[in-house]
Amino acid sequence: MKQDKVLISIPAFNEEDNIRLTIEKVKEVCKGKGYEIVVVNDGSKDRTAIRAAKSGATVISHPFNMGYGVAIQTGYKYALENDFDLLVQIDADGQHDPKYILKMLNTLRQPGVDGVIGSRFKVETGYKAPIIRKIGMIFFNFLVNLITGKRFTDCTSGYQAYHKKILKFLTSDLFPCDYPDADLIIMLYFSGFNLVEIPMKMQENATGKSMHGSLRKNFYYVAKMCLSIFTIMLRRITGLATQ
Amino acid sequence: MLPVNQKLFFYGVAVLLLLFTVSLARKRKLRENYTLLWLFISLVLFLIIGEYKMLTGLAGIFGASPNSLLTFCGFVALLLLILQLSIMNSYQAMQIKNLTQKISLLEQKFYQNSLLKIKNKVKISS
Repeated sequence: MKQDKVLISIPAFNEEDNIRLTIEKVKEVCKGKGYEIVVVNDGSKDRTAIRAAKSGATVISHPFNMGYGVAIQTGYKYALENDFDLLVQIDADGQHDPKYILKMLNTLRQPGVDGVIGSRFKVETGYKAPIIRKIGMIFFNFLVNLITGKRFTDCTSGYQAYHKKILKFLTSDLFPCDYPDADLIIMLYFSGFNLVEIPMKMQENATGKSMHGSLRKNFYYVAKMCLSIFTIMLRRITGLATQ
Repeated sequence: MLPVNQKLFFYGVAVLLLLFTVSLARKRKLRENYTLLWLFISLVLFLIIGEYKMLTGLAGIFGASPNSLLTFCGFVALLLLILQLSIMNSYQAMQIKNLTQKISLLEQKFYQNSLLKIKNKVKISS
């Protein structure tokens, strides 16, 4: 039986303190399986790229910072260009425990599954998010569930895995590069892809850094996400295909 | 009719806009499509100043003063211009994103190929 070609994609921006440990942990979990690890260095100003390369990962460096969404899409493009069958995406900051990679891949190999999302809230894991973020998560989960009619518990999770048949879609210009969360799930659902969630425990970010950092960014995120979902719905209603 | 001093002032503004546009095009600081647009705007200015009666007549249809109509039209025209620039900007941002990703992926491929070549050379020489 042909073995799946698997890519572990790690988007990273100024993660010189965490990247080595994250790669080591991934390597430990995937020992002997021949999975490739790619770090998408999103214009880091520190030694993220050097440390990642020294740890044995393939490094793709953006010449300047393009944002999280663009970084993960570069990972998808790399997977598509190099004909990978499955892709697991994991954050570089150590929030995502690599021990779930194999579980995600096993779920992804099941027939009819196109994507897997690691959920912090599918079962009680004791994960505590700041109150503003929690309200946002509840709101967008509600919205996604209402629109898709499915039950998603963590649509802002960045711990995801995708089958190669979804990669063509993810590498197109339809991909919402500006915070791809709830809108991406809805978009994929409308395009006929099947996403499933699996429960997992995640670490809270030790540095406290978040891409939604400031209050201004939080407001922007909520407004952008609502607009993005609205336009997806509008496209669907007006018959403008999403794929 | 516009008073002569006002007419001269507005003609001056229109001429300056025209000259500035041509100068920018000459220095290649303005692309042809935008040059055409700004030349058209300065021509419209000339037309309005020269045919002020037309503006007064048009304003009469809407029951507004010529100045209010002119301000309103100018405002709408600028809004449309900004919208068009936003569309262009969004399109170019997408192109820059795709280009950046392509460059990064090619750079990685180039680096990997160079490494392979070095490894092969070492193998052959040993």
